[in-house]
Amino acid sequence: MADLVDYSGAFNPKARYEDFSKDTLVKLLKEYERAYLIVLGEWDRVLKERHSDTAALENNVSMWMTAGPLVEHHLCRTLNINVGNVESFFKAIQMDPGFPLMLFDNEFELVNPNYGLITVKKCTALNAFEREGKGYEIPLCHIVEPSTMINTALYHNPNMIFKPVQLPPREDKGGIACKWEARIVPKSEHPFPYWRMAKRMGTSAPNNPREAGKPWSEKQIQTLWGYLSDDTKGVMRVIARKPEGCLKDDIIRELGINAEEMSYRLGFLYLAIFETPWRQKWAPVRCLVNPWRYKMDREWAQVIKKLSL
Amino acid sequence: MADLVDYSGEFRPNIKYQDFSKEALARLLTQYARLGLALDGWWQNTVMEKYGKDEAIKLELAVWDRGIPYEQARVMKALNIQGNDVAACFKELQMDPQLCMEIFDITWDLKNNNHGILTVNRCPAVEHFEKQADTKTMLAMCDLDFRAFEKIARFFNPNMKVTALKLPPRKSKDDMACQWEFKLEPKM
Repeated sequence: MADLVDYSGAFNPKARYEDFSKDTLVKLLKEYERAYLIVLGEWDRVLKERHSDTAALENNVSMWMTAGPLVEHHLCRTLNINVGNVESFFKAIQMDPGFPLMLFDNEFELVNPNYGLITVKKCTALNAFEREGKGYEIPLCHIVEPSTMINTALYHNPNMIFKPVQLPPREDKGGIACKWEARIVPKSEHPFPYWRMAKRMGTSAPNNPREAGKPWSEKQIQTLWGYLSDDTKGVMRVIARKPEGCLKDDIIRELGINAEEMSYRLGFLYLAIFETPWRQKWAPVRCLVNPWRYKMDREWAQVIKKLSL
Repeated sequence: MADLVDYSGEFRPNIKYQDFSKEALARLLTQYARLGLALDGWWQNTVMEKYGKDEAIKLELAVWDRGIPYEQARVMKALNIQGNDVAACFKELQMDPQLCMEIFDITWDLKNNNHGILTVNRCPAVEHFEKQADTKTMLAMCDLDFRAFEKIARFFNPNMKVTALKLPPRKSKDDMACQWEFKLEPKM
């Protein structure tokens, strides 16, 4: 039977995707990508409307801590992508319905299987946030993206580093949206050697669902602190000195780093939370805008000072 | 160049869907549909962990309140599905990522263009909630499906009526998950 170019003909109770032409399947794939993005966007919208922008961001990070590696797993299995290095990571990103080519203009530069760069030349989400003018791109690109993308890259290799080279906000609206570097490093050099595949592949609920509403205890803070690298601790110590709102410029000036490095270091906070038995807890640091600053939970600031962590 | 049957070969910086074979694209369609459903479930779990079950259900309903008719229109346009009867509605539902044919085991019984019965023999969501012994969320999601089907039917024709002939909970694992009748009622 000839391939169907559309479904304008008679209803077929046994219809299958393979009945359609390749061009039609490509068209349908783009609609499926769109449907996927609608699910994403609607949850974000509903959380913003019923709770807050901060709640939407926090839930986004928590959700992707589970979903990121699982999405990679299913895509790689479907397309027989051999997982293990930067090359497999780039291949999976290319095929990710959440990162579709119709909405993003991405440039992949794979220098070798263990090192590469991704440049997002056009990002529809960033364009929308810039038009909106509320600065939502700052927490999204500096909190959600680094933490969840670091986590997603680790699915391919627990020694992979995925680091932002350039992130919004951008001065030139015609410039690139963002740029990232992926590389495999020796295990001893990785800032987060605790990542375990088995833990990320499960979707079961945490031990005590009531933990989310409780403040962090001193014992919990010490446990989480143990998962953080010296670099991440350094950023946390600076914020702890002004927990009600530490300016981004003060942090990067004091540490002698740029905003991308700061966000990369803070990104590991969420990976560490996932390793604890209380992964549903809210992160102790929140990014606020106008001006760009970080607010830390009182309990955290007190414990860092008290114990000279 | 020959169509790719998968992406096990060398990295292509400018790869396009058109580079893959039909079979690979069909697999990818199923996977995208599966990931879309899973994504919704991951969101629901996350929100449940932070705010509890009741709020997760409320948010889930709010999420689907707006997205539903938008998706149907896009799939219809992509496949040039026309008409306003049950046959057209069934064609769209067959191709809808939320009801992916490779994920759900569905029997489509179109009695005539204005009357049909859709039987979901196997539903991964029902199986998931049964495993979790979470009847409350399962029934809320089935109610959401009911509202969604009604909305979709009305999108095709305001005189199309949807009746749930059978809904969970099931008595046995061998039972069907649910059954729905779509009927175009004569205009009063």
